[in-house]
Amino acid sequence: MWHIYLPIAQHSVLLPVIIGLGFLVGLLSGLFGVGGGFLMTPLLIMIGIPPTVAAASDSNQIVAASASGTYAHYRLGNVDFKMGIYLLIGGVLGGTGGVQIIKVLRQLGNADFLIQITYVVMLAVVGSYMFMESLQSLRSSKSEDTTPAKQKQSIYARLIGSLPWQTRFKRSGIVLSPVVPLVLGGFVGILAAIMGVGGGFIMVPIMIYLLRMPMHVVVGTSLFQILFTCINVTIMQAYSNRTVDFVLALLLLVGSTIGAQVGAKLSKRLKADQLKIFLASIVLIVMVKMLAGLLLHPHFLLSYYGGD
Amino acid sequence: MLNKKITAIFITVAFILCGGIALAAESTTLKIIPAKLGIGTFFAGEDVALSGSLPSDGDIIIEVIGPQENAKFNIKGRVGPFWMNRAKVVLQNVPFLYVLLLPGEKKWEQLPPSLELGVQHLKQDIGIIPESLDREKIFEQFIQLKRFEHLYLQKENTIHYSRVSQGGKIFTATFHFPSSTTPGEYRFATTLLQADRVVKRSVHPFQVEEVGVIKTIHELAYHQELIYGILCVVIALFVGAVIGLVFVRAAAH
Repeated sequence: MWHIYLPIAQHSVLLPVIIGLGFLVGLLSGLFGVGGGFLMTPLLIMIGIPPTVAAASDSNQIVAASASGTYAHYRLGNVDFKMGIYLLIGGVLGGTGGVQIIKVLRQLGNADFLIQITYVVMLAVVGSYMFMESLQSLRSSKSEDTTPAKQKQSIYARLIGSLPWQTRFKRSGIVLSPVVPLVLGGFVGILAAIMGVGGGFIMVPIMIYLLRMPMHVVVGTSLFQILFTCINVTIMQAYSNRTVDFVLALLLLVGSTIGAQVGAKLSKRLKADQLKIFLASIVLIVMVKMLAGLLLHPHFLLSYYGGD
Repeated sequence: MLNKKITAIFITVAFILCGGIALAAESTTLKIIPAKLGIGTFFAGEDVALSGSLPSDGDIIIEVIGPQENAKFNIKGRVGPFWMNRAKVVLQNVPFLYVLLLPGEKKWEQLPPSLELGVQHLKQDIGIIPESLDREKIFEQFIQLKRFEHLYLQKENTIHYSRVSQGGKIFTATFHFPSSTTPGEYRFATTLLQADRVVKRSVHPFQVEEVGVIKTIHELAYHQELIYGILCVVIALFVGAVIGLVFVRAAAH
């Protein structure tokens, strides 16, 4: 009775395990505004779901989790729709370009390794920077922390300040050229397409450090952008590869939507720096796990095609 | 466990009453209960009871062979300090599952090659593409992976005999189809041995198929791909919105 059969994965799974996994990843989604694909897909593979089905079904469940999370953050006034739309346009254009890049890489050979090493480097840079910066910020006193921030932003701030079409993003409380979110969204889209993930874990640090958006608006806006990215991925995967397992996605999303709501509430209680340190720690743990996978002797020299 | 014993006793009695023993002295028969397996929503693996008759001085071995497939794999290799996928390989005509059920009255540590049974015997029927790869090494890695997944097994002491009159005996066995069973045509292949020599082989097809909601979802996903994809998104949005509303209302009270 506790088992359920997945029609596309063609595998029987334990109900509490799948719902529990969904809750855990939904919690992260609500807390940090990340889709959680970078964490969920490896966990599903570990319990025996074929990698292609795991990735596609995860996108399907992220649609529900991010819809639920976006709604919760919208109610709290944490979604900058204007910024989200610019990032989304950039992301779609970048993602389309990224798909072409990955085709060329595969023809050249060793694309899989290049993807994994890009992943490790990105995770290491983003995770370490966030961790160090948040730690410093937590340690420094309130009176001290305004001066160095102003000094740091000088060159970058002058550069983006010189761009045309400066627009006010009311919800984020910043003035910026739309070129910046379009270009940065495009960059994340390229990386997301190459790595095969939604890109939330790259988008969030970019919003914090390069767009200088407030942390609570970052989470809601990131979820808004992820929602549309994953709708596109789900339909494309179902149509082209027939790898979306609806039963798996439904079970995951029951857990994840509840987890996302709990996460959104928790995020209001935590300080921005605490949130950043938690996210940085998770990013660094995933990076170490991936690096270990590249350096340690694998248990099996054969792996199913489409897997890692 | 108790259920399995009751099933085995029931099958044995039923077989004797049906006069199956009359056939025993010259040939083997195989009765499979249930006659086919349905994979429904709550499928968690299922037992199949096997029984039949054979000469009193004979032994029976049963192979459970899954649907044949062409399996694609990445091969990992070391480049500098890193392990990475270096090549791809296709193994042709590999059964998804291969389990050897053996009787308990003998020691079966090593099956004689003359019996043409067991995992090692599969090697000759399997094609490896590209052919330039080290066939032995690839095959050994493949077997290791399948054993790890509990899909290629050798189970000793799983066939039980009960002696009856007229020079014949009854065998019973239970095979558990695992939760990872995929639909398709499976085969129960019986090999009758006398004086450690193969006397007769026979193959009994066994259908495993999806039923009910599982079948409907599978057919929709494979025959109406776009509608299926859009439905997946719409239902996900609906569930996300409903749970979102529930939480907003709960917070309001």
